[in-house]
Amino acid sequence: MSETRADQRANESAVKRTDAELSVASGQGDPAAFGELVLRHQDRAFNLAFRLTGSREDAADAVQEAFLKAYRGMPSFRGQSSFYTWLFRIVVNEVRSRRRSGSSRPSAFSLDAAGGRNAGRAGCDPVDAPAELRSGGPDPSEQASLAERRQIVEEALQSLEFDQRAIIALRDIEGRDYAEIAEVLGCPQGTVKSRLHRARMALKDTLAPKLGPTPQ
Amino acid sequence: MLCEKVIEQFSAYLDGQLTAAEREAVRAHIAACERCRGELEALDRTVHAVADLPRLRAPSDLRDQVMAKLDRVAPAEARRPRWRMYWGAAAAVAFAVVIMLLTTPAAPHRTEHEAVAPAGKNVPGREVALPKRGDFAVSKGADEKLLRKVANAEPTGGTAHSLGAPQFQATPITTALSGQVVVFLPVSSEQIVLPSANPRAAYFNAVGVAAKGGWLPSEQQKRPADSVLLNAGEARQSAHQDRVLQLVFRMKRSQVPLLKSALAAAGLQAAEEKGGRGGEAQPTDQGAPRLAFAPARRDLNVATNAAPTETRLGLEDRSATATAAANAPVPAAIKAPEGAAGAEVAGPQQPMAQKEAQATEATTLYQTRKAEAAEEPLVQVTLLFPLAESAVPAAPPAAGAANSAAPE
Repeated sequence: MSETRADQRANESAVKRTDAELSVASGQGDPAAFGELVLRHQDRAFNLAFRLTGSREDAADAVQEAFLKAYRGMPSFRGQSSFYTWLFRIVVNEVRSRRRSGSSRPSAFSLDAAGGRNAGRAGCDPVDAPAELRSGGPDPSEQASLAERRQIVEEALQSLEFDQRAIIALRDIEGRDYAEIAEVLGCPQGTVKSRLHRARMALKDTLAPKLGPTPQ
Repeated sequence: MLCEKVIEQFSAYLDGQLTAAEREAVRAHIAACERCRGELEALDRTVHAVADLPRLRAPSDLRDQVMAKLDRVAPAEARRPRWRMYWGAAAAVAFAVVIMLLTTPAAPHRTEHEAVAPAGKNVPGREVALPKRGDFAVSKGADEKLLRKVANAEPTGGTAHSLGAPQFQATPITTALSGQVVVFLPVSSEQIVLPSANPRAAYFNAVGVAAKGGWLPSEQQKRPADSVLLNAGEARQSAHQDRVLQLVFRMKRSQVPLLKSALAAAGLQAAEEKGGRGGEAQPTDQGAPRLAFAPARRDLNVATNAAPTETRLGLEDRSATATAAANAPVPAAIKAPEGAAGAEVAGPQQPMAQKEAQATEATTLYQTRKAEAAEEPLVQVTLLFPLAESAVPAAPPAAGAANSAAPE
């Protein structure tokens, strides 16, 4: 490889570095690199935290703290998993420990997102609102129905035990596979499988009488 | 099949996690059992209802808030100079060792100094490769074909990091070698910035490959006596694993003094320790930068049946030791889970004196063994660099939490 090609590669990498590269740089104390990681992962981390806490405020606090812990712990990030997986693990643990320590509000849900009622209020990105509410989408009557249904689902989710909620959020909201979930939750894949099933069944038992059959 | 047994598999069924046979069994059952079919449909609806929940975006100021607080937690900043220093030292040693091994057989009568000195000056093959499972690193100017040849591996398309001096630069390379990290260390140790913050690198079971005038041909790697292939050892699951750079390799016992002089040339004072059991080099005391020199394992003594040596050399970085002494007392950092910055505060003074005493003893022992080892058995050498562990005295609670969040 010539010097020129090497330089080219260096330049390309400056444009778009992988998470792994950014993790390395962050661990060496490069805040800009870490800022890029935050930018890339904050939405998913926040969404997960929100599903776990049911509250935007708690979710924001937890995610913020999780990022700070990730930054501090970057030297111990072994690169065995993706940064994303590692971060999610920190987020889950952060939310869990906050619940234990009572530093968050009781897990009664604030449903500001579920119905899109308060979407766009101060501090929150306006695009928080469900897509259907922002542009076109179903007609108003269906909207109401959709919002109601989401609220019901959200409430049912929040009524689950934390671990059940976490595994459902990781699987059915975040779409992670069993292996990734096992990494995030620190348990064997077999446990993921059985725990996920129990959690879904519990949610189903709660939801089935309320939701009825899926519209069309 | 019993309904409960089938229902237990519904979740995995919906996720496509069943084997073909299991899937068929479920299908056959629900085709015949209306109740179970209803259960499956309800579960499917539930899964979809959850999946249909809207995705939220993080508050627009979240990143700013995180960034504003970063300097308060600054993980690696204080540590960085130390990391650099040790990596540099490690690299210099690894390089020196490799060159030494290469040059010695060809010139057996060289003095120690001569054997080591050419390393930095005359030998064109300056790169030292340190493979480790995972992705790999490559310096500027490295040739991909050579990489593959050296590592004797198939391309898999991983990622690569350039460790080219003076600054760490991430350089993607389209074709990565199979499951290995290859790090090319420039000769000048001061320039080396290894991905110290990447803990994986901290237990780098290293392989060094270099050659006079180019690269070590693969056939040469098969000759253990002359080999400069530093075989990777399994990283032990210990509290130290994130803090230790480990280089494992074999060398002729008679070359050990050369190793010592190479270490000295790299600015590391050899303080020797006695004890240790077969190949189990361990970071000895707290904090102080050190290279441990593991005894050989019997099975590696290919030429003779000689017992493994019992010599362990603790190699102290002089300057760091001095600094450590100046800053003592300090908590034993190696044990701190969330360690911190650098050895400025590492290394209690007490063990140092002990090591000096042990050094003498070990040297004597070593010389005795050397005299016995007429047939040049190989010794397995493990160099351990405790990587700047102790600087942050007590990890704040938050650090502990972050630690607990990491995979066990």
